[in-house]
Amino acid sequence: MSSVITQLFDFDFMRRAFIAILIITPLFGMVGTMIVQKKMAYFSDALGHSALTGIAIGVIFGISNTSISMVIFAIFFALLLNQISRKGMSSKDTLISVFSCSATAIGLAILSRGGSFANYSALLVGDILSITPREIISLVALFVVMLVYWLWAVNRLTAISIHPTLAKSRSISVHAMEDIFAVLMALLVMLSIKWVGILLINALLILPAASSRNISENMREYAGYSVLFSVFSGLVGLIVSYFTDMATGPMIVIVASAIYFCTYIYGKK
Amino acid sequence: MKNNSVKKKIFFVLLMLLGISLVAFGSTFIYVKYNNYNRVEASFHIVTSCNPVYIATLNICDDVEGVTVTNLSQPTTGCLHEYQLTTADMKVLSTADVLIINGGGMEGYLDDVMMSYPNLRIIDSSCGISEDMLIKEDKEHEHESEVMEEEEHEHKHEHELGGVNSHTWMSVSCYCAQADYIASELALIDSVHENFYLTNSMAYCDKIISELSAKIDEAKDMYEGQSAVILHEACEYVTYDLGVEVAGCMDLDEERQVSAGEVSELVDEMKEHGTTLIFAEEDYGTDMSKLLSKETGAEIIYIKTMIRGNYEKDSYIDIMKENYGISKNN
Repeated sequence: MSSVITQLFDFDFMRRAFIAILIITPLFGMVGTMIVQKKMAYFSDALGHSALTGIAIGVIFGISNTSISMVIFAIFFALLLNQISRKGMSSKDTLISVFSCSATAIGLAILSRGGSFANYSALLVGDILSITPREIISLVALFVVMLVYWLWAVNRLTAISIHPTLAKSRSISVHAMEDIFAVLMALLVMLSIKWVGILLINALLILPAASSRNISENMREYAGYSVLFSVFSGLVGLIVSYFTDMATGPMIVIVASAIYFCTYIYGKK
Repeated sequence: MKNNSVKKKIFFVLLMLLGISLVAFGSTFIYVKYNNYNRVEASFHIVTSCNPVYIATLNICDDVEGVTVTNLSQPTTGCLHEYQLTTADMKVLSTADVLIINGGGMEGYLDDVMMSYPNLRIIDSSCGISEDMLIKEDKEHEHESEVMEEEEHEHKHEHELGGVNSHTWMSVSCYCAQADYIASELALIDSVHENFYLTNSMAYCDKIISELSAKIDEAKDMYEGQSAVILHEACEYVTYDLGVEVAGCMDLDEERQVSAGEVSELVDEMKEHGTTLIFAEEDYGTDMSKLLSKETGAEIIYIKTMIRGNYEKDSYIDIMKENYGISKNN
């Protein structure tokens, strides 16, 4: 049994994948709580889909590292979405759907120009096994920034999610807080989309937090269980995918879904 | 009371996670047991990147003691250059002494492999092909629609090196040159078996030529000098060997989205050149070849590209016999 476990760490790619999972999943668990709390599930999904347009813009401008154009476009997309939804001309879910569909369509149209979308299809499912040490360093930097912001802003964001007007009366700058959160969310989604995939990234953001919400009675439990479920799903999904030769992202989501259904049944009692 | 509720919740969470772990790891254990994955413990482990190279290497290493040849997973869809390494591939590569690739930019994942396994020896079989045997851009078809030109250019660079079509195994002479090169490189690395590699390679190439040359000549008599469009880049080596002029190319795979403009442009091109043949790959080219045939009356010839195969030692010869036997379908 021990040889089977050590066999996992024989490979550089598995060691790197483990480190990446240990960095990404707590972030997903943490940020997911606020996304669920603020009913922003569609928002993060739309952000994921905007990755295609970001890449397409990179291709048009001849940017060799399309991650840069992806991040820049996602930040612009998130801020624009926040700005327009504040105007209240249409309901938020309709606006997000419109933005999401438009971003996907523009990205697909440009990237499939000449008929070859195949070069980008890997982005749909992601591949955590090909993560490089340099990319892990960028994830560590993001982890530190997110953690600092989280410790500083969690109470403010909670107040905004409960009652924005009340939060404003307590001198909390609602718009600025929302914008910073959206930018950091864009960074998290874009920096991890290559490893998790466009199709599944939202599931990883939502499922641990939604599971935690099923059984939590206070914010501390909510955040704690969400991080625990996220890390657990990540590690179990990675180990199972290693032995069964299946894609890692879907396996993580399957484990996270199982947790959601169990907590749902428990929470119903 | 509240303490009890918290304790109950923690107990539930621990029980749930334990249960999920047991189910996940238990089913994984059963899966692994029945799929019987074993690490290769050969004294000399050769890994190949694709089916044609695997078949050549298998013949070159025939009856060589202590040598095991393993192929990386075959792509279930699409072409090799789009293939991503799986966990199984990474595990196989970790035990490899040598990786033999087709080369010419066909293996898009090569950088990842080199980064993960810096000490792995890599044999690029395309290095054995002399330049005049390769189909270069000046020999290639002129037709590329304006719309697709820019994007295709980028795509092509991924599996063409210096403007060379890298589906080299589709030419019998290139394939034999690749086999000879693999044998000579293996002889250098594993000098104990030098004679086996060189003799096997020579015998294999002789067998290929003796079994295929008559078929190729026969097909050449039938089609030489005619004009064709190809619906897969791999067909280009076949048309070249047959002396067929390529008037246009539309490289189709499962994710290729063809615009109406491209089709009409290709039809115009075919009419202008008096094209009488359409070379297509059956998986992705059937519908388009039928459409083009209906518009122009050209004859459809299906070619098997060998991206996927059954790992039989003679499968290269068998498939090329079928290709040059020429499978028609109108």
